[in-house]
Parts: sequence; C-alpha cells; structure tokens
Amino acid sequence: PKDLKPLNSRYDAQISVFGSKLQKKLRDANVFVVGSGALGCEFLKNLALMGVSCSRKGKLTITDDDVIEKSNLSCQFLFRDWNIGHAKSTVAATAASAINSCLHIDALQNRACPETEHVFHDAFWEGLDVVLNALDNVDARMYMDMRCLYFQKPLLESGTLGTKCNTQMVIPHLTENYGASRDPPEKQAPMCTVHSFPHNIDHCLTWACSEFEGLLDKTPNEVNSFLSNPTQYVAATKKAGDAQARELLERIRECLEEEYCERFEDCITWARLKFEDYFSNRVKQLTFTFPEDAATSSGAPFWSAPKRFPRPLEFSATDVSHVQFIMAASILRAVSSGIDTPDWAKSTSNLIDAISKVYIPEFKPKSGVKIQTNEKDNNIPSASVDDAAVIEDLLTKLEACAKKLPPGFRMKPIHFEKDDDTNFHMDLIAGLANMRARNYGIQEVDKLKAKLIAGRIIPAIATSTAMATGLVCIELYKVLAGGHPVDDYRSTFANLAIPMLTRSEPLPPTVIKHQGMRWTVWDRWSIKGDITVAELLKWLSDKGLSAYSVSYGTSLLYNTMFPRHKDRLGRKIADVAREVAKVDVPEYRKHLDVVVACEDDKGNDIDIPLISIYFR
Amino acid sequence: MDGGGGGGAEGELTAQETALYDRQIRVWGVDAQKRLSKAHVLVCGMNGTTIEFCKNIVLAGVGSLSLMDDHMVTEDDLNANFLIPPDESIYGGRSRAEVCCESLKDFNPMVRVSVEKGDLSLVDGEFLDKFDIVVVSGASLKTKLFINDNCRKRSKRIAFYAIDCKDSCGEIFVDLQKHSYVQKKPGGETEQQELTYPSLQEAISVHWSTLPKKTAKLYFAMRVLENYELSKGYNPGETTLSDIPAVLSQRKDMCDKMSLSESQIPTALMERLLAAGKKEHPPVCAILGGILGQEVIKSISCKGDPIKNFFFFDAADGKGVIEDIPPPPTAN
Repeated sequence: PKDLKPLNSRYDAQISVFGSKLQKKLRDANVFVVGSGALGCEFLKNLALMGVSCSRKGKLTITDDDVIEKSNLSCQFLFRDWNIGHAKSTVAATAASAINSCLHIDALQNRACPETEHVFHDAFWEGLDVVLNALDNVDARMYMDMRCLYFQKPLLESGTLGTKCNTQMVIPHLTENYGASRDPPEKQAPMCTVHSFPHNIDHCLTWACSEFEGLLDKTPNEVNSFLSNPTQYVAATKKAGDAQARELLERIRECLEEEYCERFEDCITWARLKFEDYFSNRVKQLTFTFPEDAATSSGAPFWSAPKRFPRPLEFSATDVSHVQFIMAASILRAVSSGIDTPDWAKSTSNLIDAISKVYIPEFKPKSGVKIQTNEKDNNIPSASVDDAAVIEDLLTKLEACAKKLPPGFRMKPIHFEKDDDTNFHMDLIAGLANMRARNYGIQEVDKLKAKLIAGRIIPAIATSTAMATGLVCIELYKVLAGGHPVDDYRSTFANLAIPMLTRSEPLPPTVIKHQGMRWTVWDRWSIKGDITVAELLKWLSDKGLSAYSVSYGTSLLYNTMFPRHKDRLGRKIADVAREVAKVDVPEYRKHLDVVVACEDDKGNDIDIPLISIYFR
Repeated sequence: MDGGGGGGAEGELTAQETALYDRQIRVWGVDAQKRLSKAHVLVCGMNGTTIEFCKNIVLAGVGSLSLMDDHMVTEDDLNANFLIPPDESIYGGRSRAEVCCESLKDFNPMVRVSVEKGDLSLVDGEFLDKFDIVVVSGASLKTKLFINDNCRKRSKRIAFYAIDCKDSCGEIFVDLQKHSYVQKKPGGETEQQELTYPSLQEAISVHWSTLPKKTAKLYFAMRVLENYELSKGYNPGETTLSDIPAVLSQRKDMCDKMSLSESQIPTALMERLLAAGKKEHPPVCAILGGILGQEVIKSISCKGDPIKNFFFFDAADGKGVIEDIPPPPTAN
C-alpha cells in the first residue's frame, strides 16, 4: 500500500510498518510528559526518535519542579555534570532537541497539583492527545489520574522499583482508571516488633518515623485543636471516654506542662530527657520486665532469634552522634514551639555545656508493666470506669495549664520532609533510628541510606527505566493511531532480576447498571440550563435515583441531613455554588460540575457520573 | 545485601564512584558495583539496540567499553541511534564507533570508552582475552558462530551475547558457558546456583521436532532468515520483501528436514523480518537494550537469575518470552 512506502526519512522504520498517516499523527501530537527524572529522560529520547510532536502543530510539554543533583546522573542520562543545579525539564528538553531538532517542546517547572491548575488550565488539557506519567510517587499519579479522567485523556502510566517495572494503560471508556485498582499496601512489620523487638534497621527507622510524627506533628496538632476550642475538645473527649482519648490528653498535658518550652534551653532539656527516656529508661524497663534469661510460658528462652536483647545507652558528651541527636531534637522542638534557634546552639561545645546542666532523675524500673510481645494479643484497652475518672482529672489539669500559656499560644506542627537537607528532619530520624540500633546491636546507617529507607525509596536504574518507557511507547503508537479496541493494548509487569516479563490486557472499567441505563467512571451527565437544586433532584428522581447530597469541589451545596439546606432547594445551583464555595466559575467556562450522592429505589448507594450543569 | 561468589570484587570504590553510583548501589550492593567497575565490555555493531545497551552499562559504571564498527555513519543510522547528532557536518566521513564513542564518553567520565578498529570476522582469541563480555549485533551467522566459538576456547570465561532487532521483533542469545551466581529466594535467603550453557552452534542445531510446541515462532523464523542470508552470502539486513519466495522455499526445506509444520513459522512473520532489513523501532530498542543491560549487570555481578539462553520479544503480540534451547533434560 502507498501509505507504507518509505519516504526516505529518519522515520522509515515506523512508516513501513505503521504507515505515513500514523507518522503524521505522531508528528502532530500534543503530548504532556509529567516528570523529567529517570522515566522522563528516557521518554523524551524515545519520543524524539519516534518523531512525536515534531511539527508546528504538534507540541510536547514536559514539567518538573526539581533540579538536577549528582546522584541523578547515574540513571537520568540526558543530564551531565555541568547541569547540576539546573531545572531538570529545561536541560532534558534541550538534550532531546539535540536528538531531533524538529521536536517542538515546552519545558515547565510546575509541579502538577491543584495549586497549578491556572497553568495547566482547561484549554491546556482540552488540547492534549495523551498524557505520559513519569512520576515517582502515588499521590501525584492519583492526581494526574483524576485530571485525565475529568478531561477524558489517555494516561500512559509507568513506574519502576529497582529491577521491577510496571506499565498501565488508561484509555478513556475502554479501561479502568489508574486509581480504580490500587496496589495492595506495603507489608509492614508487626507493631510489637517495631515497638520493643526490632531486629533490623528498617524496624528502627519505622519506629523513628513514627516517633518523629508523634512528637512533632500529631501532638502539636492535638494541642492546637485543644487550645482553639477547649470546650468542644473536652466534650468530644468525654464522649469518647476511652483509653485512646485518655492517652491523647496525657500527651497534650505533658506537652503543655512539664515539657513546655519557653526558651531554647528548655528545648535542650527536653531533648536530653528524651534521649534518656528512649535509649536508657525504656530499655531498662524492658529488660527488667524480661530479663536476659527470661523464658516464655512454654519454657523456651524469651530472647531468642529474631529477638535481640537490648542494652541501655549512657549519654556521653564525647560521642558525636549523641550530641548531634540532642542538637536535631532541640532545634526541632524549638521550631514546633515557635522559639528561634540561637546561633550559639549550632556550636557543639556550647551545646555540650548546656546539656551538662540538665538534671537527669534516676530511673527505677516498675513492676507489673505490660509489654505487648505478640502481634496477635493486641488487646486494645477498652473504656473503663477508670478512664472516665482519669480523663476528668486530666481535663482539670489541662485547663490550669492553658491559663498559664501566653495568650494566643499555638504550637507549630512539623510535617516530615525528607528532601530538605537543612531542616534537621532526617538528622533526627537517623539519630533516633541509629541510637535505637545501638541499643539492640543492629548495624547503623548513614543519613542518606536512612532517607532512602524512611522515604521507602527504591532507586531507579537505567535498565528497567529504559524498558518501561519502551513498553509504554509501543502503546503510544496505538493510542495516537486511535480506534484500537481494548484487547490490542498491553499493560506490563516485569522484573529483570528474575527475569520475568508479563503483559496483559488492561481491565475494562466497572459498568454500573440501573433501570436499563449503564455507565462507567468515564461517563458524564450534562444538563442544559441554569437549574435549581430542586430541579436537579427532580431530574435524578425521574431516573429512579434519589439524591441526598450535592457537592461542588469540596463545598457541600445540599444535604438532606441539614434542615437549613431546605432553603436552597428553590435557588439556582450556580448561585448556591458561588455563595458556598466563595469562588466564581471562570468566565470562559460554561458549566459547573457537581458530585451527587444517590440511592436507588431499594435504598442502596449507587455511584453516578459527574453531572455538568451548563448554566450559561 | 552483598553476596559472594567468585573473585574480582576486591579493592574499594572511590569517593567519587560512591557518590555517583549511590542510588544503584542501593539496588545491587557495593560488591556488585566493584565488580562492574572492573569489567571490560566489547560491543560489535552500533545500532539503536546496542546503543541503548551501551547507555545503560556506561551509566551503571562498567570499567571499560570498547566499540567496534568501522561502517561510515549514514543518514539511516539516525532512525534509532540517538547518539548520532542529526548533523552531517558532525558525523560525515566518520565511523559509527567513533561518533558513538564520543557521545558515550560524556555519559560517565569514570568509564573508559574507546574504539576498536577492524573486522570482527577476523579477530583472534588473544584480542577477545581483553574482555569479560562480548556483545555482537548485526553480524552474519558465520561471524557469530566464529566469535562464540573463540570465546569458549579461551582460558578465561568470556560471556557472549548476540542481539538483533528487526522491525518490532527482537532476539537475544546468551552464552555464559559455566555461570555460578547468587540466587535470591522469595523468603530473602540466598543460594549459590550454577548453570551450564550450550554454545550458539548447539543452540541452533537442535532438531526442531524435539522442541516443545509452544516454542517462540521467532526462534524458527530467525533461523530460517540467517540460513537464507548465509546461503546467499548476504550481510544481515540486506534482504528485502522481494526475497520472500526464496525465503519461503528455504523455510520449507528446513521444516521438512526437521519435521516441523510450516505453519509454525507464519509467512506474515517472515515478511516482517525481510521487510525490516536493518530498520529498528526506537521503543523496541529501549526494551531490548534495557533487558540486555540488566543481563550483563547480572552476569558481571554474579547476582540474580540470568536468561538461559534465548529471549524473544514481539511488539505485535506484545509478548516477551525466554526459551531454553536445547531443552535441558528434565528429571521425570
């Protein structure tokens, strides 16, 4: 056929198989590559060679908010030493243009997220032919999935974990969306192992992350919600009245009473006492309860593998890792208490002086302390009469504490951010994990390795990344050719270490059937006219659907539960949305989209498509 | 994390190496990285597929990479070879190996990339002794057999790989001779394993009637094609669709001789391979180059199950399969 005749161009390999019509489609394609890391670099090379977006009409947009660092060079092959510190997307785009100078590429530095929807706006999305995800985290993938679903764009998803790679094709109306079937959650070590019986560094890091979060994020947040509305908080706690509520209150009380920090010196005291508690007192208590020669009920040695017998640490000002732990902990405690870190505190010798002034009370292990030893007997303490009395007592103490605080006092919760090397977060996590590892005689790790484990990062390597993008680009031919049925597409799971390569047809979307109608997550219902809430409900009830809740974005427009919402029934949906959501629908947009929760005639919840109301 | 197995891992990595390879060391361990940095790789035949492979192992940090391909760069090389700048003033009058070498050097200053001039079909065993890994692409059956045979005759173990991409199909042949490695069990423990590979000659002379029914059709098709090229004295990829009648009669001869139904080698597949010539599809190059890259890393590091001994990929049916030919004797 004439279409397959080679044109003596660099694309003849493709033309002789797929034809010049498809080559033109590749050339004119409007493609969005999200991410310019390992996957992004490989994609750009493939797209440039394939001649994608290589005409004036075609356009390739690549976006990434990251800059190049040294360790990227080993798998992000479009980057060189001299590019370190530059924006990934820009450097990658320049390198791709060197492979094919016809490439029509636009490099942006915006993270794809709700905050950048003014950049990646409706018109941008509507012009796209296909989206290629080149991301490294699930949240961003979920976000792109949601956007592709909304704008009905094909999404070619891929990811790698070391030698493993997977690709998933998401094609409007033909396949399920990315978020429809998520990977099973990662296996985690049983809590008792993490809490008392770690036997590898992962356990120590899991514990460190959870302590970090508890001390610096969760507790400060609880403190703030108590302080913002003590009456409501107290009422809610009394109503719960259980052991968890009691523990939470105890945390808040500690935080505001004996652990309250006014000056940076207080933070050092706090950090030093934490060291004592975590790495000495707790270990002493554990080994008091279970001495080295303890036996289980069956007579076997209690401390047998994989359990490791812990030994307490004695704080030493000459041990750099001890002092660094105190530094990171006191600085972060200061941040969460709204205290500036004085310059002197960043000098080790000054810090050691301050630490030596901290009074350390002697620790005496207690009898009768219960420690969970088996993951099965996780008897969550239930509410008891005791709890109610203790809660009452705690609340009285808390109210007294609150009165002593400066007016308007709030804590500043810290959200763990692994990628900032100057924020001390990873220093504290690595310190916590390593001190604990030392307790248990486990090999310690450096900060970088701690970061990889704590961030659950399994690095990308060039081989699996190259393969993943190759597999996706084969599917890209089909997407851009158009008209392929679902059984032409292939998703993949591969592991180059085993080695294994499994390809399968993508799953179709779940079809919902109701009174002779059928729809999937890809469908939209649209209603023309500036209708009222009541008219919308009527429109649905004509379909045998009884709507009980209508929302617009995160704003609730109508819910049968709230009597005052009755007033809204007669009002135009667009007006209610404007009032409740406090934002105007942009001028260019003729519709607004509402999510409606419905029941069918038998009272069962039924997912219905998004409803677009064309009110203009 | 690091497994033992064989020598060659002594000596420490430099600080610079540790910094650059930090990420991948998390995947395969320091020991594997040390072995990589001491490995010498020869690649003969520069095309889209081998260049993907070269990129992957240069990034991974092999000790040295030598490129052998005296052919002058032509416009045709641009279709899948992303290392050749599409500018005749740069590539004009220079060999593929030279132009690719220049680009590859930039990828990783710690890897010595160089050009070996000469004709692969004339090299001697001593030349091969310089290398631990030899990768051949786009060579005639005769040359492949010659090199494989020479690799096996040397006193040191030289791993041999042949890789070819035609249209959207690909074949990888692996001969590791005797290979012992550390296998990771599902539970996380490791176990020492040893594999014995057949030579290329053994792998292609097996009687077809002894092969399982589900054997990849590409295995047979590639044998028909290379035998046809051999009989006509063609260089690989010099065939065109006009050769189809002669190729189909070659297919009939071989099928008759080895008691295989001709339907096991579809005419459409033969046509695709003939029409492809030397043309490669960039995504298929990326896939094959990725797989071969990891195979070579596994073979050097003695960690992970290697392919034994053929890998076939066909984008048309979306399948990638491993074949062990001749089939090892089974226990039952």
